[in-house]
Amino acid sequence: MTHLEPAIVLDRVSKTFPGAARPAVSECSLTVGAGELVVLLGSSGSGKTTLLKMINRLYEPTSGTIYVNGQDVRAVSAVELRRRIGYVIQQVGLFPHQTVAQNIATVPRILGWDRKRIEERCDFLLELMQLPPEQFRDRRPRQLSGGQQQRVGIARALAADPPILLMDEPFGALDAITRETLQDELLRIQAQFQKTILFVTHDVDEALKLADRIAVMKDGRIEQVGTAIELLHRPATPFVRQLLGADDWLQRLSVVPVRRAMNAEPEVAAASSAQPLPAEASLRDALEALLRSDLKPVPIVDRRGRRVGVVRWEDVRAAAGDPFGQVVSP
Amino acid sequence: MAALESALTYLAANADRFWKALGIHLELAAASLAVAAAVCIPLGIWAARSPAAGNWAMNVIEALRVVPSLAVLILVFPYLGFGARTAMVALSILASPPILVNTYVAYRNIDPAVLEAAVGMGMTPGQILRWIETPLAAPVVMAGIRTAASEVVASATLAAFIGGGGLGEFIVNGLAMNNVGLLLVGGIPVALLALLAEGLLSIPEYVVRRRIR
Ligand SMILES: Nc1ncnc2c1ncn2[C@@H]1O[C@H](COP(=O)(O)OP(=O)(O)OP(=O)(O)O)[C@@H](O)[C@H]1O
Ligand SMILES: [Mg+2]
Repeated sequence: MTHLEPAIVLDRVSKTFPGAARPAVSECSLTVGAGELVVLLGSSGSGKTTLLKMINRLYEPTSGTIYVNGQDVRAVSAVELRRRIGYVIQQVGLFPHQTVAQNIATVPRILGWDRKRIEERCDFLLELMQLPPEQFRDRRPRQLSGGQQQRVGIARALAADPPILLMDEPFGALDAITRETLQDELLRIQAQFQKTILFVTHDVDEALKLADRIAVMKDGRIEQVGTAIELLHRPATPFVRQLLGADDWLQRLSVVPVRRAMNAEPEVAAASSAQPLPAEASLRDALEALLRSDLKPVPIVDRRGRRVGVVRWEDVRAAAGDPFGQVVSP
Repeated sequence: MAALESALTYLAANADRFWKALGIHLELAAASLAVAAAVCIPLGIWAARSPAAGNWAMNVIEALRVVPSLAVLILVFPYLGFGARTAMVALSILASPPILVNTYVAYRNIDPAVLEAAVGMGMTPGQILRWIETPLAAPVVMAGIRTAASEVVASATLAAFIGGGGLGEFIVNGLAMNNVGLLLVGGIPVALLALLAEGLLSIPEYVVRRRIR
């Protein structure tokens, strides 16, 4: 993932709004590899949205440089840049005077796609978002629930098939069940279409579930960047430890997918006699399976049933942030 | 009753004159309205883009709105003299505040999230103006035009005082000759026209409004 060529590079980016005492974003550096899903995680006001908006030039940084596909974003026209980057804004912002289909067609229409292609794309995306096209195509935004609006917002961002997506709390207004369905959907889309996604949330479980890597933000700074397991295992600051709720490690394990802790060792997996686990299972499931297999390596199978790797006791223990060590040191 | 009867008698005898006056009246009102809209809509959009100056300007305009139409006419008259042209300038000025203020408010009040989404998807300022802002602002702008229209139709009566013609002629003459019947020949159609303008223009406004909400 990170070994792929970088799609987005932030180099010591800062932003101070006019008249503000402190910078909203301060010296942030981050590299997002092509096809990678990086989550910006932080509490309200930590600068997540500001950072995101500098990438598609809704805000200009006070200092620092941003590269998209190797190119300084200031070197291309902002309009051209934005058409190549899907953007899901925090407040959804559907166009109230247009139908769902017209909303989705925005960028394809600007790019001059022909009508048939736009219609097909629109129906495809509605299906993807689990909104039956016949039923939703011609509705107006006000005729949709908050969650449906958010889904249309995502479809609109995906419309012209941009390689990069910026998503600002796209599942904020959803109930837990729809939220989970769409999280799964997003992971599927990302795996299938190799999108580069920068995803903003303040929901720790969502970050742990979705992220290839997580960048934790606090007061405009990036405190730590790493995989869910790295963050849980070795939080760089007390804030990261507290945010990830190392105390509630069993709960954390239940949202981190086991594939994040997997060792790609098909031979070991083939040889293992333990009951296999699907890659989408959580680390908590892995913990259970390990206990049942007497801590022998548990094989992981992909969607097609192939044994792709194993998860070991050490992996799960590392992801738990070494909870047993914590009990001793108060 | 007698006055109404004499009005009808006059109308029957002078149908040509009446239709001509009505034509001039409508022409004057429509032209003034068109000029005001052509100037004030772009001006209002521009003002909505520059918050500080816009707010200040709108307050001044709101204050000026209390100046009565007759006063506007009297103020313009010394510069432009007698005739329809003077009347048109005065009427255009009169039609301006509602159009300007409504345009300003309409473009000002567009949901910032909608605009951010539009900008974020790579629309140019022109595309945003045409595809997003104008359709969303249209109902309020049209309400301004409607208000201006009924004011202008009523005030076009005053054109007659400076020789601009229109239905006001009957009123001016009726007053001069103390002829209530003649007064009604001008007065009733003007009142009906103002109502009609209000009613007719609310139809397209309703249509665009319904498309939005
Ligand atoms: N347009 C702006 N002008 C001035 N200050 C701003 C602006 N946008 C954000 N800020 C300030 O910058 C800081 C970071 O805001 P930002 O919106 O990036 O936070 P966030 O992490 O996205 O929070 P949330 O989770 O609530 O969306 C805040 O202190 C905010 O008040
Ligand atoms: Mg935000």
